[in-house]
Amino acid sequence: MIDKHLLKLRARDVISAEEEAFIRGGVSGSAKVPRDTVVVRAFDPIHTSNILVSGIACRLKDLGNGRRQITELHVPGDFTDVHGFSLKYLDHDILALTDCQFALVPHAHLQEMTERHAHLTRVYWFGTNLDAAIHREWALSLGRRDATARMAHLFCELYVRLELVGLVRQGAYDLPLTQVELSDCLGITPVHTNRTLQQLRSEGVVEFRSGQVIVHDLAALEAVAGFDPRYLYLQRMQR
Amino acid sequence: MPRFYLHLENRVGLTRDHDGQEFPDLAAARTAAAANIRDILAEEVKHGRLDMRGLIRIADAQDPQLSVVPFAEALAVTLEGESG
Repeated sequence: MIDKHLLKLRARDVISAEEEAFIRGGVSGSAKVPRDTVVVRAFDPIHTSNILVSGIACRLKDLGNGRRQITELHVPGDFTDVHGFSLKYLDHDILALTDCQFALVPHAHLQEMTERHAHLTRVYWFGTNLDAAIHREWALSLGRRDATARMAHLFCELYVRLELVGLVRQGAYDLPLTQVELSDCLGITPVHTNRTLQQLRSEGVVEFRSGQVIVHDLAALEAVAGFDPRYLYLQRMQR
Repeated sequence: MPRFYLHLENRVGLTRDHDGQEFPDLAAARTAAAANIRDILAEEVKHGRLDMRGLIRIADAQDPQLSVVPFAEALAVTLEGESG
């Protein structure tokens, strides 16, 4: 169930067989949730964290009145709320954007990990640092990149993150989001999102069609975005 | 809630809305169209251009020409020499 999670961890570090057994042993169950479901509600007390097994989820802050900002997209293999272990509640929602399956990890198991597995603890600490790096990159996009570069950057980031877990095929990946959800990632309105998609399509760079992102020219997409993947910390090394 | 389609026509041509969005009524769709126009024009202004020739055409499943929101309706523009 959590094979993609292990793929993601092993892209950045060496995970021993014993550590893998400990991670697998921590999964207490699974949950299937339909699209548009809040999986973890902001400010609710939490005792379990969720590994995304399939589907697309997000971290979302909501100002009300339809004004909401997605602050990170989660792809299969992500521990969507391991930060909830130390925070005890989240300052944002975790929302299933598509039908999702999650593997559930009780905080008692994470507590045991911090006491018995120093290296794994550092691996998951790295994971929260990586999420913070992604948030910084999104802040940079929202503050300083124009709409076209912002969209191109998001598509580049997802390309790298989905490729790590084997979900990019022939330059394309599934992203079954609506225009409204995409616009909530980019901080622009849906018609502006649609206009920006059309521009990137007409330039032969990338296409967003039927819930799929089809990258026609990855080098051009990266150039439009000003994409530098170093913030995704892709080297495998001892953490 | 009924679904409305917000098709954009501006200096770069037609951008068709294939997804549509749900709104309580046409008035809410027109309010959203105005907000979309402001967002698009704001980005253009950052690039040093303001072209007010454009509109959003609102359609629903029955009527492709339900309503039109011209750019000029979404933005109050005061030029130098005019009284505000």
